[in-house]
Amino acid sequence: MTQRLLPLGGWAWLIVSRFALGILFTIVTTTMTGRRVDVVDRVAGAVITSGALVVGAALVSTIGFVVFRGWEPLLHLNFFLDDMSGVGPRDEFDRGGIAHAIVGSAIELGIAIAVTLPLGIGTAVFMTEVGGKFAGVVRTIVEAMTALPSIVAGLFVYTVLIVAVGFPRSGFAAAMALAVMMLPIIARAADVVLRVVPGGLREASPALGASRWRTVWHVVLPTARPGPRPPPSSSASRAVSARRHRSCSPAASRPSWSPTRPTAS
Amino acid sequence: MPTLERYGWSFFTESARQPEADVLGIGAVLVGTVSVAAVAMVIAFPLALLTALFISEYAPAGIRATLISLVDLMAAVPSIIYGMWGYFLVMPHAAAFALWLQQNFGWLPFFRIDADPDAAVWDVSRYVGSAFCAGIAVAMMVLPMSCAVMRQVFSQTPPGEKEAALALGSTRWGMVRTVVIPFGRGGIIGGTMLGLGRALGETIAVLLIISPDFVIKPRILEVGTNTVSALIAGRFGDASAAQLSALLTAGFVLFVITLIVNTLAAVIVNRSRSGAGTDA
Repeated sequence: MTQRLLPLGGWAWLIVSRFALGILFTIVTTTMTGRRVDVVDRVAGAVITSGALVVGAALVSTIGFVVFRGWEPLLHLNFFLDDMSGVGPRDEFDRGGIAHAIVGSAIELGIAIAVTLPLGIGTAVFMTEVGGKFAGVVRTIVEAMTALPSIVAGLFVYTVLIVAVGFPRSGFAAAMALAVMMLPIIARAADVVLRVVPGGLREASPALGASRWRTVWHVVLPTARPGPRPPPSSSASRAVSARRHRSCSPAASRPSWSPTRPTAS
Repeated sequence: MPTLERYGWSFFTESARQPEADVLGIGAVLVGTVSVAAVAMVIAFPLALLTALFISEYAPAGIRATLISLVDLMAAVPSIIYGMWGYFLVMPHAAAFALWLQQNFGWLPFFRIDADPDAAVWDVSRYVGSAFCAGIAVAMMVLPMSCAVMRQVFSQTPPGEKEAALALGSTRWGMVRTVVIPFGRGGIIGGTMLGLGRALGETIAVLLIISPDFVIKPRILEVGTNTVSALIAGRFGDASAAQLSALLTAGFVLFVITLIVNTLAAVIVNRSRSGAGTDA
């Protein structure tokens, strides 16, 4: 019977039709006791709740699917400690691992953060503390750069560093691509945090005779320190997952601790 | 711009990509990019809106913080995971759904597929790897982003206005419809456009799912499409100097498009009433 109502067979469609019939049922029962407003209210509540449920189900199925399909190697410790050198595609799970990729990701991310953190916070300090006409231009550019699709950042570094300058495809080049991506995000986030530093604190410091640099270093940045931490970590998590920098680093199957040699990530 | 000198203005309209014949254009990938993003937004927009409304208005206060961090978690899932999820788990179902759409709504031009819908054994390969399948994965990626923006704006609704609506006898939905949604309209539009900007630039999930094709194809359910970013990711390695320059131009075009979309979104969010206190 249910299968005839459905456009297609399968449990997914069973749930869909169950939902549609449930709403119909709600309408009928509410109409018996309440007015039109109540009916609309109930239906809207049901639709909104189930919309959120669909999203939750999608999230659970994504994570569940990845864990379900990939749990087997996790049971072998060598998955985290070993690399893929000398491992064939038909080997069992107790050979090889992803150590080289983890090391590669960590190196790339480390370089990218080391480059972007000072630059990004410096940009933010410039925008909020120095100010002036030029700061507005910089802010517009930073806003625009956040729209940069990561693939374009990767291609840019590929063309400039690897093709034009003749740099080897390496973790360093990949880190540069990540840095191009992360810089505007960090600068913008730090800018938002720096702007909420109370003006009173900011004016008290020069009033006591401190120079502008000492004001920034001893008053503004310490006040804002709890703030900037989440932005770097969130942009770092975005960068780790960005696979476009593969355009810059060829996959190597051995751990290479040197950032200027081929790496995997 | 050596690319334009070499290929002329037909670079933007030419759909074929035949490096041997020195014919190159981004017409097809532009159409593909737009159609993938459109599918993604059609799926993501209602879900993001419903989820944002649920979190800010309907969810019990106790689990609200958990739900917010769950949405953040969704935003942190790498796109390659969504690509794999879309490829292995969703695509078979999406193909079946595409078949049903073709059988019932095949008269709509963008649902048309060049395959017999009533064949005894339906030709699955004509239904997978389409813009529709890629759009589902991309929708999962843009959803948390636009949902976060919308929720943030909804949560800034002045409680006084909400309580006034309830005090006047409004139901919860009446309150949402007359107070929360009008207040958050700027956030809804802005969040959607921010999501659109991200959908246009999405690479790896699309690259995994689609089967590359270089034909201007508005039929979103049929196999074969391509997007600018997937084209760059797939072809930069074996590109000659002129082709690399062409890929860079394609990337630049993509950048300009996303830039326009994001700037519009920022302007809309800033100009709307959202976020500004109400003293009325």
